[in-house]
Amino acid sequence: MLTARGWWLLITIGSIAFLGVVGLGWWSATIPIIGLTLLAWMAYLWIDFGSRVRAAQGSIVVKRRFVQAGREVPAVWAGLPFQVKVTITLDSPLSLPAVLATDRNSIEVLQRREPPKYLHDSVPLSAGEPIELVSTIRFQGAGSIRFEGVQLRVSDLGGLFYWRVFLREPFELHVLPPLTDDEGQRQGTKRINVLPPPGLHRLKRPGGGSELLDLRDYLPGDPPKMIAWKSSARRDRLITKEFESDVPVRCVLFLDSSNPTRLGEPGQTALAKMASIASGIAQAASATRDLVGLTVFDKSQFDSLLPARTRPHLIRMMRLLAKAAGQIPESIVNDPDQAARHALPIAKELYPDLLVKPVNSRPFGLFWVPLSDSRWLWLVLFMLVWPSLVMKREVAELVATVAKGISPSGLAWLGFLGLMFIPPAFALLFWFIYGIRGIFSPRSDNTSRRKQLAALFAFQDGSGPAGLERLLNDDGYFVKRVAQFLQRHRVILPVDMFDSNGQAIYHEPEKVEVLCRAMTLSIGRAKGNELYVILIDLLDYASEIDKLLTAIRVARARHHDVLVLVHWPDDVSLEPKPLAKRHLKRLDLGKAVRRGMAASYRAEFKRLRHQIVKAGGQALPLTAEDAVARVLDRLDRLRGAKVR
Amino acid sequence: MKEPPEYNPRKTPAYLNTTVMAGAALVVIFLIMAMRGGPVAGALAPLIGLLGIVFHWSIAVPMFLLVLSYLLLFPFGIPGITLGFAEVTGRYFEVTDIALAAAVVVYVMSHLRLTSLARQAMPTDIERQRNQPMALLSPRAVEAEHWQRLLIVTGCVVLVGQLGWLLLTNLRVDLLSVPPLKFAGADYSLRGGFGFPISPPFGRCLMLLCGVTVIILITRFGFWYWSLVKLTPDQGQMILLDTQWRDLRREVNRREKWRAWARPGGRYVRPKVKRRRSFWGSPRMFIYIPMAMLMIFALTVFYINTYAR
Repeated sequence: MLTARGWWLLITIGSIAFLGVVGLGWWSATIPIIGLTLLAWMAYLWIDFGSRVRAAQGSIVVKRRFVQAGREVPAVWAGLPFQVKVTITLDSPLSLPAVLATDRNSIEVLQRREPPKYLHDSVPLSAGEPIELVSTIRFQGAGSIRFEGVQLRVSDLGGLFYWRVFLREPFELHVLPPLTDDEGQRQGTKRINVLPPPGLHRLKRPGGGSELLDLRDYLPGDPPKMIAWKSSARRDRLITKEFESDVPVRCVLFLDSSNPTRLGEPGQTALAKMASIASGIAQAASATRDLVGLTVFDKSQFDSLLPARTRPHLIRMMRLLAKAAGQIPESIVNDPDQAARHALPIAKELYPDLLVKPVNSRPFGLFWVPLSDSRWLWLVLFMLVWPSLVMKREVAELVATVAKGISPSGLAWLGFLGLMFIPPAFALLFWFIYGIRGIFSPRSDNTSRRKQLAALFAFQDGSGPAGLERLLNDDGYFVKRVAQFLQRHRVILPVDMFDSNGQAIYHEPEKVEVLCRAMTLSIGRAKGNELYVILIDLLDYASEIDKLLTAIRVARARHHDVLVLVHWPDDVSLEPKPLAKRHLKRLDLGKAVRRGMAASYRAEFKRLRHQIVKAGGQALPLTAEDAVARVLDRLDRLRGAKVR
Repeated sequence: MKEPPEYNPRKTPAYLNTTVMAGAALVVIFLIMAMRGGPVAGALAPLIGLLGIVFHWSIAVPMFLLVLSYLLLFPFGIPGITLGFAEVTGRYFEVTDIALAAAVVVYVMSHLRLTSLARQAMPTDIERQRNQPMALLSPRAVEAEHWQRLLIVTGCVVLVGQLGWLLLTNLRVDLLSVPPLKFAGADYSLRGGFGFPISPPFGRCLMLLCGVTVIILITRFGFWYWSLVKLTPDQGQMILLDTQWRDLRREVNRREKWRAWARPGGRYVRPKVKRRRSFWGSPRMFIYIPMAMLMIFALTVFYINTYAR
């Protein structure tokens, strides 16, 4: 509670008071009087501050509101600024002298902005005067922002005493994908006469539509109004008209949310971009009363929304997109000590009250390194039981011979005793040294960190002391739990893209299999001609899409269309640019590598497209500008119009 | 849109008022010290205080107090030249002492506030926030405190200081009596209980230490109890979990050991990195070489005793 400034002052005042009272008072009574006066003043400050802080514990209420476009909202739209208003109220008769309140959210952690040099918001907090924090945020892409709560740093006016508390009020704010632009805001009325009404599409199968499909011979039971009288007269037999079907088209979007798509600044990831495009498609399709469904998949699971056309369904879809776009890459740390080193500062910041020693103890026994975990145990046991072995006659004779050999004459008994009892003494010494190593750094630091985190996780999971002990002993379980903790609090660790063998860490071919499962399920539920739009990062997987090709073939066999939109890096052009002559003269290694990589991307995409087209689908690079238009064109073609 | 002017704490009324207060306290200190030892020696401590205010030195307060104590001991600034000996018994509630103590308290208080207003109000105690901006005290916080309260607190602590000194010099420690304190009265004796002498300085020291300890213990106990009353549900649950774990640790630990034995990947095995450190630089050297020497020695002794005789 006492700051460094406070300690220095206390030491000075204490020294003056002590020396004044003990000896200097003989010469000047003013010295001890000043020392005692200042000591009394510091005691007053301590009692005053301590009382205020304790009175405030549990009496501070935090309320958070989000305001966009002048009204309070539960979720916000991307691209538009919104305000976060936090009101901190104290319900205690004693006020807090100087409070610095910080609303902690995941953007501040992730965005490395230049901070201001000083903050001058350290204001008093009293019962009648709440503190209101207002901040304006503008989030460009879809995603979600996690608000953890409010950190209060309290000090007295002189900065001698200090107290920090974190008021946990976790809230996940969804930033919905931006509303569609002109391209997406299509009219919900029929514009061209050749088109069927909005929401209906022509299916060239006999049905109840208005467009003529075919003529056939009359069959008994055909309604008379369907008879084509002119054709019947011409052919001298009854001919019946068949009309096309008018069916709704279901557009099912598949969004890849695997780890590689989550890399990057929040709101600027490949996933956020794909989510924005998916949102544009969904909104435009909804505007024309088409049914839209969404499936978000990653390497292990998928989450689906069945096609529908209602407004609540659209909002649900936006939320699912926002939730998907807000995901951060899973942290891949295998070393438990390293994982704890990353997680503990976050835990200390968010759960300071649960990590202090009175509630989260570190007993001495925790730091003792047990010998039973080591193979040295057998040697130590052998040395300990050695004296009992000597009781055996043959061994005793052998030991006596050796003792006689190594001891001076007449002192063979001493050598015998030494040979009997030195090994057990050495074993005990070894056991002590082996165990005591745990109290020294860095082992003690690692143990302490791990215990604190293990207790916190066991508390959160409700797994009790057994769970706590498992977290202390099972490295794999602990590392997984730390990754989960960091994921929940949206902490991105420094990402290594490649492992020590040069293999990409975030290479996840399993996602193709999950996608195929989701597609197969959709195909099984499909009714008419459907459009499957797959937004996926597939450039590195050209040789691993056999199952996807099979799924596309199945979809085509059921008269559905498949459009694969392959994520394309922003900084790579689709067409190669010829090198200028001046560049050819000198070799720039960086540029050469970039050109080489771009060429490999193009080659991969060409290969992908070839495979997908061969299977009956279509593949397009996802270059944000015209992706929505291309998908809508495709939908229009399904509706019967040749071009939009 | 016109940008708001940059925040300058020195232009706020709170800063100016506090500066005036600190300045007034330094003037009082200067006058009293000048009365005791002349203007040159008297100006030294206020000068340090003034520089501390101007440059917001945190170290200025301890320096000021130490220099002031030195000048109170040697008013002329020359070591060894004092005003006299044994004035200890005769100085209670002297006007100059009261004024000086009050001025020192006001100066220290004002200096710390000015530092908080213009330099740093609270520490950056979180690892992640080391590079975060410094927090300054808002002028509102200083303005919110009533001047009456400030004056009353100053008056009270000055009174406590005087009373403390009065008690310390008029009480003597007698370890055989209950309570072990007696008024010294006229027959101020140097002899304490148990037959060993307790000199007045030692007695005062004992009384001061005991007094401070008692106050600290009582206050800590009060705060501890208050914290227990205010314990949050989360903290209570955590204490229960921790206590349970301490009680059951050996049993559950054994189970985890068995689980780890059953699972080959239970414990993370760090990838072994080939160290370039030679044998001579490694800790193994301190084990292997003495062991080797011991063995050579034992063999030599064995050889000599057996064959070389």
